[in-house]
Amino acid sequence: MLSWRAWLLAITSALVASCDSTDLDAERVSAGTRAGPVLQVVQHDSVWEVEPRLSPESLAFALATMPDVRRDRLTATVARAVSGLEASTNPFIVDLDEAPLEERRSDLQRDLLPAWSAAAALLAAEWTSADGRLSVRGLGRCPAEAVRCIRAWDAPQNGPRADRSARMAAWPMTAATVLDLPSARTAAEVGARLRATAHEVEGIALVVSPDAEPAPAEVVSDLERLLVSVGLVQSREQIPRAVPSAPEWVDDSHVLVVPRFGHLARLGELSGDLERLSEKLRLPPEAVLLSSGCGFQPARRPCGPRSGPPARGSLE
Amino acid sequence: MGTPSRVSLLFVVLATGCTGGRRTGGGDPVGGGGGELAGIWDVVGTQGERAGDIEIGEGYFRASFGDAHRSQLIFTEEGGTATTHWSYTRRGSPITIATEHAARAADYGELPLALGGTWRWSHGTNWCDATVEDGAATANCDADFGWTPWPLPKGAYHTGKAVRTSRASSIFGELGGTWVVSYDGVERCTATFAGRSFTCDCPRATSGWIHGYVEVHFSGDVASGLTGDGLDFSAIRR
Repeated sequence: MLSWRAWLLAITSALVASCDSTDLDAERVSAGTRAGPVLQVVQHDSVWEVEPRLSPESLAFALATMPDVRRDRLTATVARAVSGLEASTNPFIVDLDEAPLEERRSDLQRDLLPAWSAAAALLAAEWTSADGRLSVRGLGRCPAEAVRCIRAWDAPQNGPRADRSARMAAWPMTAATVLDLPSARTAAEVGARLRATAHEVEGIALVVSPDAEPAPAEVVSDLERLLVSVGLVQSREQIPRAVPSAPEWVDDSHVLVVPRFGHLARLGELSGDLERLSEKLRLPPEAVLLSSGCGFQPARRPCGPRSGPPARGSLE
Repeated sequence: MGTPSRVSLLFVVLATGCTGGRRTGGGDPVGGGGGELAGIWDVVGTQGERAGDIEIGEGYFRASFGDAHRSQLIFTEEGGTATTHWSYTRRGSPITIATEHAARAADYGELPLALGGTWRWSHGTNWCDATVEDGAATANCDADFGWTPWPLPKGAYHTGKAVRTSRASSIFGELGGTWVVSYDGVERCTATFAGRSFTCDCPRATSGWIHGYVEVHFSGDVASGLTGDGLDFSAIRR
């Protein structure tokens, strides 16, 4: 039985030894010939603009998949802000908490935006590279021979800069830690355990698994009101009460740990923190680490991205 | 102001606040930094939007942000002459801020820009003086260089100082450690350069000035960070 730590180490070592050079041809993936999702990359002559992503659907997804403790804190923040809002509009209600609107907005942003923006990025149909020259789609398989695809969970190592840009644009896919479990039921159990403890790791935004449940209806309803009143959104929109579907490249047997966008330069630390967290959890021995994130970091970073078919190992 | 501009401005503030010295007029190297952070960095905001880009080179710094480079700050220093341009496309012509810099030898680690020494920026009747030494910096300003977006102050009529209270190993070389920043006689911020990170916390800042919390981390060609009110950002070097 290998520990996750030992298993990661072994894979990392193998990668560093084997993946130092990657060229464009080697990155081309034919339709259906390789397992694992791919990134379809299109280059543009002019800057490709991205649409704003924060949507009611991604908010519902964030509420369902954010770490439990952080959702509890958000719920408390929402309750506090709502009571302040009611006091400001009803002369018969006295608000004992006299925090100004700006402070309540800041608190709400602090508790909501990291997960919401991660969910929005995860559910986006398309990503755009930071320089605006590449558009990238995450797919279960490459749609056609004529389309350029690169493997999402492979190590870019010292490959072309354009590939690293594409992988960074697709960060919810490439920087996520992905576990494959024997069944959806097992994935749901593991997901629930991870979500219950994920607050111990600073950089985790979401834990996506089949068990994700919607936030309580009253919280969602309050948020619909609050987002407009504090100016986070322009107009009131209904937040779905059901959890929106995960992207098509996420299987029911997968558990995804999606980092905060602001942690992309700290994925090595996050990987270590996840290792320590995993040691506290009793993950089933059949669990397979499909990707340990860091999909756009140089090889010298201790992120342990895999190469080739998923290796199997036991997790403690 | 939208999130993209805010995010880019954070980088501007950080970059202008953290850039260090290596070379100045006359071509004499005055810093020991390796300049590993040089290059063009594309900055992306919370929603995946392009916020702008920052270019850092030896004696050159440019930050462009907002739609169609709505705001741009360019600093160059070559052959003993330093120049600063600031433009905001919605508010008339770009302004050129006369810049005088007497550089001081310093090692700012991976930053290839000169920061140490004495500075004077002026435009018309507006002026700002600053000194950057080992372990201390001061600034005295009576200036309003026109429109300045958040989080920069609308006008700078302040006296400020920063004092390093402890040392730490940092990619920013001589800046490494914790600094207490005060202005108008009140301690308002704590800034720390340690390892490959920079953090700044301004819980007691006054309205209209930089306030809140921000952290930035660097790892190879990637930088990322977050603010205390939930805004995340990342940057990748082209």
